Amino acid sequence: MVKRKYLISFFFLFFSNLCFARVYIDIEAPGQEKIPIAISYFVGERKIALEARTILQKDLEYTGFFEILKPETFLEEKPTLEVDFKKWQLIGAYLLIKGQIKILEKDLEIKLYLYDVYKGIKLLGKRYEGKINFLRYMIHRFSDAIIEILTGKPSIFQTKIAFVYEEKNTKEIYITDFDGYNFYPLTRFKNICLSPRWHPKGNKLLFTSYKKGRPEVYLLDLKKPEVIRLIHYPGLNISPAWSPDGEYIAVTLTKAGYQGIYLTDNKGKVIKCLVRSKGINVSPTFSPDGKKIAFVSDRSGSPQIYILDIASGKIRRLTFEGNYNTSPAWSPKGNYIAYSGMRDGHFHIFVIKSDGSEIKQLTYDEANHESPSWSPDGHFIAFSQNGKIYILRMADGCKFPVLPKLPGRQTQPNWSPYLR
Amino acid sequence: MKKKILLIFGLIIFLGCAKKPLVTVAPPVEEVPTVEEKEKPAKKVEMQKTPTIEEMPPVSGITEEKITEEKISAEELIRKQLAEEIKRFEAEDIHFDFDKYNIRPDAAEILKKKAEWLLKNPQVHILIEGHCDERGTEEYNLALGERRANSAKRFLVNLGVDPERISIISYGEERPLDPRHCEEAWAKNRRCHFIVIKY
Repeated sequence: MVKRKYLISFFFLFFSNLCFARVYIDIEAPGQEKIPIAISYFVGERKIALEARTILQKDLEYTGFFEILKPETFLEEKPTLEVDFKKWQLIGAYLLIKGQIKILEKDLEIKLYLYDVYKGIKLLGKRYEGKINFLRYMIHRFSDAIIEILTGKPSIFQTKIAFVYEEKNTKEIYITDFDGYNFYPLTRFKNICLSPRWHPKGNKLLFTSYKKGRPEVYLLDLKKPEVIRLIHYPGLNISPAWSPDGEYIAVTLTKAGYQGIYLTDNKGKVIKCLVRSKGINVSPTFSPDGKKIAFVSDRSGSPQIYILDIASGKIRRLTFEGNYNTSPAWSPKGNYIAYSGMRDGHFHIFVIKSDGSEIKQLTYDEANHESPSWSPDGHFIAFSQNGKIYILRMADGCKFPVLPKLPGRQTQPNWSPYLR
Repeated sequence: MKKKILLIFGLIIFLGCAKKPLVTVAPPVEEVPTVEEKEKPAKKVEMQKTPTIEEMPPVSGITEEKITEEKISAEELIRKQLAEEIKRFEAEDIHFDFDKYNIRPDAAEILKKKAEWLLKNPQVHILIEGHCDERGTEEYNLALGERRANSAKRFLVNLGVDPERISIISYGEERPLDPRHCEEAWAKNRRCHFIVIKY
């Protein structure tokens, strides 16, 4: 009986915790209603306070979780840190954000608070101090903290996207914040660089380059920073992929005329051959548990996606619809694989459950949508559409261009892990 | 005596008279040879001082040119002919169907000619570049381009060409011949290009 009581109370605790986590936003539930949120004007120097508020608003809009209330409806007369919950209840806000910005001698001090208007409680309070030009990053941190409180996991506000940028017949690896700010080149090889791949820790990138005349795999250390020619066997050295622990690399090599996917250590030394056949074997992507690899092969006569169980060596075909399916990307949770497939002459982004059931088409424009890459929270997919990078919100299919004004072709986006 | 003096005088006059026309007509005749005689030795001296500069060079120059032209032409003809052959060899690409890397019959004919030429010129080493059209992802096309180059290599090797003489590289969709986005351009871009790297 005592045991049972314990069990019940444990269960109750567990369940109530779960309830708390899910009170606000259940990520898994499709078509969830948006939460009305008010972002009060921030106290402090007007220009910077407005800029900070705009950044925060855009961040929250990205998620699609919120209905952001118009400031015209606010009943507060001027910015204040004091909270009169009734004033916010009256305009229909469920959540409220308040903030204060102070310019210190050299730095900026930002205090931000998140309130539950109906319960009348503070959910979150944060103080940031940093250089004025890091304003965006301080706000992004708070945005992530908000989403983490509401969903249990941070969003994408502290992530970056690496991509291939084409200019004057060269392709270089570039990097940008998720929202298109702060983009710059990582390579200046004046050559062809392809297939950037973030290390799971976010401090390194693998990519393919023709720097020495033929495709080889390079490792870029962002912290040092330096570039190492890592995998350079005779023949092809392309489409590298990190194992989830960052200890191994799967890469396409050609040996004795056969194309295969090989497992190497993190120095590029071949450990074993994973897949080999007469035809094409390319674009491996690890499952999040590191036990499987999805890859592209033409062994059936057309490019299709296959899954290899590394321990047993068993291979099964995943895609059967369409006769050109390529570029698989395993979702962070492991339940889906995104890929690019041709339908009616155009490439579109699809997701398929890793057991092969339930295919969903995510893009419909008459354009080519290629190289999908998941955000670390699994809520977004980045891809290239006719030479521009877009991100697509899984919840509702909304699409945003990341760098619409950058003139050259942008391809092969690769979303970083959390960079915190 | 007076007669003798007169005669002599007369003779002198006569001679003098006779000499005058002689003098007026003859002097150029007589003088020219003397002038020539005087100038010739002078010229000889000059020639000895600065030999061959005025007269020899153009003469010897012309003959030298003719000789060298004749001497080089044999080697250069071979070289020129080889250059022509290399140009022809490199000018002809083979083409593939979309997403395919099997050798089409039209490509087989071209490869047979190429193999024949390679067997005739065993010193030649070549590079086969595999290319794709822009459709499909970059990575898949890199893999596909490699398969195309590999197919062409295997075809040549089967016809007796030493595999050591053939290198391959894939450029995927990175180096299109025709940058347009239509079937006509794509058909041109799905190709193997051949380059002579050693001869």
